[in-house]
Parts: sequence; C-alpha cells; structure tokens
Amino acid sequence: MKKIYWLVSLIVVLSMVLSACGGQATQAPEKKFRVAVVMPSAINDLAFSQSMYDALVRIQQEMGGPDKFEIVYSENMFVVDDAAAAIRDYATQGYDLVIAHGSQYGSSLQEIAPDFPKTSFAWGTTADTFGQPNIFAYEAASQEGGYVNGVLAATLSTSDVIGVVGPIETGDAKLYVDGFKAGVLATKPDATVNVNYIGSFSDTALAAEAANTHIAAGADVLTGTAQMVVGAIGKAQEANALWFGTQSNQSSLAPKIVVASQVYHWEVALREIISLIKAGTLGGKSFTANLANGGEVIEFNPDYALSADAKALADKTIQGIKDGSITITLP
Amino acid sequence: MGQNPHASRYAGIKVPRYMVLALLLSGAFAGLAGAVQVFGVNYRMITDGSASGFTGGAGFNGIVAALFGQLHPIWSIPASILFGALLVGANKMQRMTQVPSALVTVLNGLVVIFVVSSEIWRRRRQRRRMAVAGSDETPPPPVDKKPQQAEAGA
Amino acid sequence: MISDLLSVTVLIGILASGIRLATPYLYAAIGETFGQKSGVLNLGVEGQMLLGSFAAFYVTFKTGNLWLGLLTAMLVGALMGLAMAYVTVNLHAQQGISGIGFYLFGLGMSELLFQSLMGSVETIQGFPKVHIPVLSDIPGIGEIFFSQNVLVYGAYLLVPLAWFVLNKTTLGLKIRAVGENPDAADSLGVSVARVRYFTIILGGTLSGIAGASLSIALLNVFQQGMTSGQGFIAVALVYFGAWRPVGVLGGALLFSLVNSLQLWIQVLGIPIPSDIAVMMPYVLTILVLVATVSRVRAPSALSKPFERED
Repeated sequence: MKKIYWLVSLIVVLSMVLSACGGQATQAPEKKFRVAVVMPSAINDLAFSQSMYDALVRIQQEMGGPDKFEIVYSENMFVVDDAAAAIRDYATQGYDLVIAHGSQYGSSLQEIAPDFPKTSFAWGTTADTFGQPNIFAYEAASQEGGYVNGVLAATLSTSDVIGVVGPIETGDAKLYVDGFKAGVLATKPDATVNVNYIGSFSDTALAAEAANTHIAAGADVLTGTAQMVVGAIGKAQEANALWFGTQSNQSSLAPKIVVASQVYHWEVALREIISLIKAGTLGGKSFTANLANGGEVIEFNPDYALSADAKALADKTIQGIKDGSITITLP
Repeated sequence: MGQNPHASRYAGIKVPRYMVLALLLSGAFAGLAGAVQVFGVNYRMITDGSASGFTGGAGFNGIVAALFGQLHPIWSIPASILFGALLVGANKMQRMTQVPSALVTVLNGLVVIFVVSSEIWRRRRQRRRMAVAGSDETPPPPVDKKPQQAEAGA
Repeated sequence: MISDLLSVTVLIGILASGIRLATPYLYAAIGETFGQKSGVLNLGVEGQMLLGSFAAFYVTFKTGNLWLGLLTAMLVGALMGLAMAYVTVNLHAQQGISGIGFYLFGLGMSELLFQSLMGSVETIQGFPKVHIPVLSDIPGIGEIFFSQNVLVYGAYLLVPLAWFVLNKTTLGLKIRAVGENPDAADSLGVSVARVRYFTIILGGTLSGIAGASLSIALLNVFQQGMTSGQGFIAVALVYFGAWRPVGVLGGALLFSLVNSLQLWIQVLGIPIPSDIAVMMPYVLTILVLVATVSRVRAPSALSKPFERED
C-alpha cells in the first residue's frame, strides 16, 4: 500500500518535472494561421479575458473555422512567471501570433520577443511596443464607451443618483469610470455620481455590498467594471436598478435591467495585425480600439425597452465621439 | 526555541524577544522576495488586487516550499526548486494537451496532499532503522511554529 | 462630510452590509475553531468553501431546490473534511501543507466542474429575506437584524451554539482536552482520533455552508474564485478570536463592518484615497489585535500529529 503511494507520487512528480525540462519545437506550421493567447483570468469571466477570447473566436469563424485558424489559450495566468513561460513556450512551438493579454506581462514580453524574431507578439492593454519590430500593442479607449453609457445613465435616471462599482483605481478601469462620470455630468450637471473602488478584481461579495451601498444612497442606475461585478449586477436586479456594462456583453446576466454594454471587439485590431503579419510586418504598430474604428461597440440589450428618444441620444453621442465633435475631458 | 520554548526559557533565552526577531526577519525576507519580484523580474508594480496580486500565489507556495524543506533554511532551497519545477511542468503539460488550467490546479493540490501524506512511511522506516540500530530514541516530530507564535502575542 | 456618516440611512446601511458580509466568515471560522480547539490546523477552508459554493449553486440551479443545494454543500464539505481527517489523524501529515493541498484541490475542482457543467455565469433565486414578524417592523434595527435570509440568521445562532457545545458539554470538554493534552486525554480513555475526526468533518461541513451562503443566499451567482481569500481570513479570525466563538464573532464583525464602512466612505465622497480606504479593515483588525491581546494561548497540541507513545 505504501509502495503504491510512493510510486504514484513519484510518477506524477517525475512527469511534471520532466515536462518542465522538455520543450521542443513542433514541425513547421502548416498553412493555417496559428494564434496563442495568454490571459490573466478565465475565458468566461464575462469581462477582460472573455473579450479577447470571443474576438478570436469571431475571427476564426470569419476565416473559415479551426482548420484555417487555430486558437490555443492559457487562462488564469495571473502568476506572471507562469505566463512568461507560456509565452516563451508558444513562441518555441512556432505559433504565428502570440498574444499577451494583460499589461502585467510587459516586461516578460520585452525579454522574450527578441529571442523569436520570426514570431509576432501582441501585447495589451497598452500603447508601448518597446520599439521592437515584432511586438504589436493594443488598448481600448474605454472612456469613450464609458461616456456614452454615462449619457444614457443620466437620461434614464429619475433619482439623479448614479453608482459606480470599480475594482482598483487604475488603468482600464479608471479610464472607463472617469469617462462614465464625464458623460453623466455633461448631460445632467447636477446629478450625483458615487464611485467606490472595492480594492479587488475578484471579491464578488464585496462588489455586491458596494452595489447595496449605492442603492441605499439613492442610486437607481449602476455601472461597474471587472469580473466581480456579477455580484453588483445581482443586487441591482433585486433593487430594480438599471445596469450598464463594459468589456463584455452582460445582458444575459440580468436581461430585465441591463440597458447596454460597451463591448470590446478586439477583432478590429486583430484583423489588421493578422494581415500585417501575412504581409511580412511582425510588429511595431499600436492600435486603439475605439468607437470610430469599431473596436468598441455599444451593444444594446434587446430585452430592455429603450425609448426611442434615449436611443437617438445615444446614437448621437456615439456619432459625436466618432467625428470628434464631442471631446471627453478626463481628470 | 521552536523545538522547546519552555526549555529555552529555562536556559535563559528570552523567548518573546527572539520570536519577535525571528518574525521580523521572516517578514524582511518576504519583503525582499516582493522587492526581487518587482525590481528584478517584472520591473514594475503589478496590482490586480486579488488575494494573489503580483506574487500570484507565490506567498502560499512559499509556505509550502518552506514546510517541504522541513523549515530548515538550507533545505528550503532544493525544496523550492523542486516545487517550482513541479508547477512549471504542470503548466507545460496543460499547454501541450490544452486541458483546462483548473485541472493543473487540482493536480497541484493532489500532489501536495500525496507527498505530504507519504511522510509517515518515511518516518516509520526511519524509526525502524533506528530501532534496529539499537537506539531507542525516536527523532522528534517536526514542530510547527504556530502554537508558540500565539504565546508570543503577550 | 464625515457627519454624513452619522445619518440614519448610512448607519443602517453599514450595519446591514456588515452583518451580511460577516456571514461566510462566521460559518467558516466557527468550524475552524472546533478543529483548532482539538489541535488541528486546517488551511484548506478556502477550497472547501469554493467546492461547497459550487455544489450548492449547481444543485439549486438544476433542481430549483435551495435546501437540496444547501445539503449538497454540507455533504461536499463533510467529504473534504473526511479526507482531511484521514490525512491528518491517520497519516500524520503536516497540517499546514495538507491544508494548502486541499485548498488547491477545492479551487481547481470547483473551477473544473463549473467549466464542464455550466460554462457560463448564471444567476438563480437564492434564499429570500425572511422578515421576522414584529421584530422586523422596529424602525432601523428591524431592517438590520431581522430582515435577513435564513443562512445569515443561522450564522449568528451558531455562535452561542458553538459556545455551549465547547464549554458546557462533555463533548466540548473532550475536544478541549484533546487539543491541550492529547496524551493525557488518551490515557483517560478519550479517543483522540474520534474527537478529531468529528471536529474536522464538522469544520468541513460548516465551510461548505459558508460557501453555500455566498452562492445561494447572499449573491445568487457562482463565479470561479469568488471567495477571493475569505477562507484564509476565516482561519486568521480564529486566532484573532482567541479560539473562542465570541471572539470569532467579534473579529468577523469588526472586519466586515469596517469593510462596509469604507464602501460608504467612498460613496459619500469623504476624501480618503480609495487605496487607503480598502486597507482599512485589515489595518484596523491588526491594530485591535495588538491592543487587546493579553495572555492568549493557542491549544497546546495545535497542529501536532498525535502519536501514541508506546
């Protein structure tokens, strides 16, 4: 009995250690375009990682299916060193494009990219390509969709108190929240926008209580960003408050109260990157997803009956941002 | 002190003071680990706010590696390397087979449980060897710091 | 602005939120208290909570029966407790490490099952608020204390129950004896193994309920990793509470109330940077611990495997 214990543990341990030391390149890639993506959270987190995975799947369908466009992924790579190993490994295996979907992977990418001059890398969300010829950068102007959401939120709110549930006051989240606030105040300067950052991207319970706090403070419209907002959406639904989403389409979670979501359509940037790669340019450009180029799309919830006036206002705002007549000033 | 705080006190070692010192040192090392991660590896401060943040669970895995090394500072070096290799290998397996990363976590957990469970056979064998060698002494079981830590809270 | 904090709505909001937030901590920490009182350290609480949380959610999602979901969570927690008990009592494994192993197992398994059985985030109708007649009509207090869901009430009823069992029953005496001096207890005929099996399985069951309280009572959703470290905080709360149910209650409430306080501070626009506000629960808990700890002693046999000296 004890021998079996030892044997089993030994085999498992050995196989893991050996595969750590292994890592050979596979045969030369076939005609199909092969993409690998490394992400910090789950592909079904209804937020950041899912937005990239969904975009890749859309491109796969456009290009004719898994035979023409291969996608492999490593999710839940919140340990940067694990992600670096993954990126390096995929490059070694000859993938055409390796996407490091997370700003924390930057310094790892900077070290790895020069070792693989024939591989193209993409890094988001950022504008920095480190000046290297095989790194693309992409980011989202989330304040734009935030602004549109804010305009709509102000229009639909009757109590003129609006609540925002944020994760940590940084990066993409801060852009969205600031844009949202600007949109609300541009529409109703006397409205109150309350913001709380809960200090975590994953504490669903705290996000729920953050929403309760807003509701107790009188908010009848809420928004928030990052994956823990599923807790907040639940509380909004209980209180019949409206919800605006970002990063992914969150209508399915609460069909009665989600008005619209700003969805990142990374495929706009990805299409350009892929055609550049096929034409021989492996990097050096940065892309911004925004309303104008279709990288950000405001997707309305078909189950929510938005009044024609409100919809018209939303469309007008989107158009205004696109053609530059509306400028968003951030703090 | 960890082996027998009462004996240490009788011998004149000021237990609370050294416990605080030991804790300070371990805290300093932990801080050093964080600094190394920020300055030496990532070149920036990454906060994602979760329980793991930029250490990505390295804190917990550090505890496991230390306990694997039987709380001996020298032994924790090969123990950490082995444990690190284990985790890297598990991730590599995940990439090659494209099984869900959650499976890797499950296997990680099972390996930890199995390895730590098998310690009993090792100790029994050790004891049998010592009994055969004629000595009656059993090696003291590894004593954790935890019960003594609370006493230091005074 | 700080005076806004003293308005009735805000105070009610803070208290009500705090009471809800403390619920999972209470279940998990009281469960862990039983285990630690008997000399066993279980660091796998987080894993038990996650697996219990998923089990409760999935069963409720599929059957529509909340109580069945709760029962499943208890069963799952108990099974994990059983495994932990075997590894701890029979195999004398180092408890800190095995606990982490169980944590990883529970974390990975809950994610794996979620991905293969569900695939996307869904919501359910969880335990509804139960308004206790008469008491819930008291202005203010009624809303905070007497209009919560069943699992919240359960968590608070658990505290006096745990106190009673640990201090006023023979079982409690045995538990404490086993945790202080297992050799003496053993020589008096108390089965150390049986007592520890009991406390560990009980702890696992309560952790399962803690997880269920999140997914089918408070949040009505399951998301991978949603406990976000609460299981580990629960273990810390046992130390904070000096291994007493009342102390654990105090710690859970302190931590949760300050957490809901900082949410309100941000909402009311009190000029504390969000990063500082978020730190408050942790900092305050440490400060209180430092200020109030006197002759706190852990159970002497905590985390030492028991081997009969023969």
